[in-house]
Amino acid sequence: MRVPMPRARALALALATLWSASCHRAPAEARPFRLGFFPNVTHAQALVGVDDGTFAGAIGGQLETRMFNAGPSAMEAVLAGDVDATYVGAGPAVIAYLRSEGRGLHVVAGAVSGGSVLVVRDAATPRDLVRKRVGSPQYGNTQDISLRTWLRANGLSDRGGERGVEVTPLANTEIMAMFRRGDLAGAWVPEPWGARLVAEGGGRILVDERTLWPDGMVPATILVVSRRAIEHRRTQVTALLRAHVELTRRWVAEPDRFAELAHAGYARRTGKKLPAAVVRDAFSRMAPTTDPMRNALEETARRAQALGFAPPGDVSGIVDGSLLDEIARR
Amino acid sequence: MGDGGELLVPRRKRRGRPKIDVRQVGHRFQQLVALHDVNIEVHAGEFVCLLGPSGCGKTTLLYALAGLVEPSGGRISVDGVEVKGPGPERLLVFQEPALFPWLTVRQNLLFPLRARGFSREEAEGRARALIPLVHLEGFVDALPHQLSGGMRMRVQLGRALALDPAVLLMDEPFAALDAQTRSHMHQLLTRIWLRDRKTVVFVTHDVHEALVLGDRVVVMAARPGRVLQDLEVRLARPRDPDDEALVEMARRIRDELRRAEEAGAPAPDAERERREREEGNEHERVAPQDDRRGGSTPDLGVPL
Amino acid sequence: MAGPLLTWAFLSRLGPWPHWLFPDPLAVGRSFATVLSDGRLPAAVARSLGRMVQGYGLSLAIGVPLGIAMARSAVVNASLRPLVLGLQALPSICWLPLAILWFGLSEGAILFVVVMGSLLAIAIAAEDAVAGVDPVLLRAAGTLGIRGLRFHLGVLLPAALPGVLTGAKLGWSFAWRALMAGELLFVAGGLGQLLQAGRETLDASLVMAVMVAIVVVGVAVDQGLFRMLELRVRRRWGLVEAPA
Repeated sequence: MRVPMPRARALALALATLWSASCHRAPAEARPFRLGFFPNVTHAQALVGVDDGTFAGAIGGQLETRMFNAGPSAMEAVLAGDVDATYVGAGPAVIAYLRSEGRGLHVVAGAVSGGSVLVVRDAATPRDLVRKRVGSPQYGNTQDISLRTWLRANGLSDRGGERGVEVTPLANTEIMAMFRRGDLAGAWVPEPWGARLVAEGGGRILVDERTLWPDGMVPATILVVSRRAIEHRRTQVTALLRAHVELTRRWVAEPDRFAELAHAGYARRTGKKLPAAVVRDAFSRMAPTTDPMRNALEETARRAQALGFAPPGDVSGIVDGSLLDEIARR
Repeated sequence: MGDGGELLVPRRKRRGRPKIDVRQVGHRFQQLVALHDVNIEVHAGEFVCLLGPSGCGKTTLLYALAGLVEPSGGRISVDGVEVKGPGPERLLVFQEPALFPWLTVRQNLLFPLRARGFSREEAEGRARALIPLVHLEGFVDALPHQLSGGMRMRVQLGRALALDPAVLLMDEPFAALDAQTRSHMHQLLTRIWLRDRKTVVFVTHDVHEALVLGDRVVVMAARPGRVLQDLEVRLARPRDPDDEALVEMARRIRDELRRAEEAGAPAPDAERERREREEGNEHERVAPQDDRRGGSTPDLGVPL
Repeated sequence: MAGPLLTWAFLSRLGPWPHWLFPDPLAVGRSFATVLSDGRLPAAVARSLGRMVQGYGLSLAIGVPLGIAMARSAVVNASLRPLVLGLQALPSICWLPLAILWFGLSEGAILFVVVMGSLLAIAIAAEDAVAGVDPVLLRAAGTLGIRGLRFHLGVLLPAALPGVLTGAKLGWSFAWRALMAGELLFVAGGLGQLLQAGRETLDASLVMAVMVAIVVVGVAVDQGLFRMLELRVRRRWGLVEAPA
């Protein structure tokens, strides 16, 4: 096929313009440190630490925060250099790590294990979901990967059809609305949405993800830092990590008080105050941790690769434990 | 051959109810008086040519007969019934072929028949009968754009005849054809008319054409559009266009028109337009005006 | 084709983005082959085209009569034409919020966006085409006694068909764009969704492969189906010389 010259020239010009435009980025160090998280109680350390100033105090005032609905958008931001660190689920983190060929980010600590459930309206077995619609928070996020893997393990397709389930990624608020209307037969969600679907949507927990992992270690939330930040802002990253470790210690020491604080942060951001019973229920399925859950990350990578979400590759280098070790040594 | 005086005479009133009765019809487009006090009677089976320069209102009158234009004054009736719109007994044939370009010749003939409620068999039968009459054998499956101008006109004629209307209204149907094709069309139309004896009102600005075709030539003038003369043509058919008597009659009518126009003091541009048209027309290339024939006016009956 | 491909390969190597964000043609080709062979691409194309049949079909079914009505009725023209012209200026994405509010996250919402994205262009083209029909044909139909439905379907529509078809072709490309926007509304299969899947798994080569597929399908229908139809109609109508 012969391409007329003007078109080729226009293409080259457009590309050249893009190229030159993207060359003018402000130096990273001039900007405040940027931390991402989701308004879910599975991000309890973030909610509490941002609200009570733990992070700001540790980093030295120069802190900016950004909220995401789910992991893939948070990972886009990390890879694009728009956030330096973020709390995120294991799925998006390993996908981003593999996609960037190990050059984009590292996992520096774990945060929460568990807190991920499949809530259904009336299904008793996986088969009852066939030809129905089941929600997940975002295509390729941790719960999405869990749901699809679970369906396949039960011999069902995750792409709809006669022998499959239609997996429908939706924002958590949409999941709640559609579940209540009966438009979703179920949803695999992080807390507190699991507890809320039960309490407000009349749902029932069919799968508590802790039952599917060895030792009940579900890599629900981990702390991810961009490689650039590790290289250029190591002091601030260490300060962030120290704050994270301290918050996790507080959670372990005073679980009810911490749950209450996390809930306050959640309620403030979503405009929805939850009954104490729902908060208790949500936290009952979660455990705080700083363990990066290396084995669980590797399992997550295998699952994401099996689903075609992640390219082939090795995640043995995904965890950068050196920072955590540094803090432990002090 | 003589001067043709007895061959071209003012129309004598006939008895009986006319097929078409145009009474005191006037029409205005804003300021312009397109028709002024026009009175014409057409009897069944007559072939009447409306002849005149552009702007004389002949086409307006024809469209009023077709029911596509409502005159602002007077009354037009067919068989005693006032014309209020198009009707199945009157059919208009246009200067353009006006064929449906996506339909074959056969389909162009069938479509209006089916629209008028004829059964498929009946419509097919009529179309089959008409094809040879308008010399379209071998072209029934051709599309209009594949035909010559003359053939397209024959299809339109065939389409009109297939519907078998009592009155054919023809709006300069052959004006866009070359001289030879037009001459063939004249012969064809004459033959068909002699066979069916339909009532025909035929609009033309070509004096020669009017004399070749018509039983009567209604000569019209412009500004305001009006009837100058209503003449009967007493020449046997088929008529030879080169017949000396016919050529002589044409000359007289042309003189008449010229005088009418000069008397009406037409705008100079209209005059030029008329001259150009005449010079471009083979049939009208005539000898310079001869004063001797100024005295022949009374022969034409109606005073100016 | 070689020039742009080489430029592309060159830029992916030397450009400002790492190659996994700006993959070279080979990587995109591999992605294309992958989604083609694992059935995701064919399924997405089938889903999207299925929606086009419904949404675009609906646009034609409403748009063409609407255009005819605007051309033939002064009342309809006066009351609807300004609205149609005004709304036509809206990019189809602007209908997304209303689509969600009115239809929820359903097929209906996607179809609504497709219909609103193409309906008005089709109606305006149909109006132009009908208004441009040779008045002699209309007069002929009148004197031949062709009226009512037979007039509209047998004379007006075929006479306007070349223009209507041009509008239909334009409407198709609008509908196709609107569909791609609509399929981003929520996950319900289709090419737009596959594009989003590529984005959410940070798979730039999948994103580009799907973009290629969107272009290929769009151009195939435009150049294949519509060009052929247009050519046939123009030949039959005598608007171009048929080859001897």
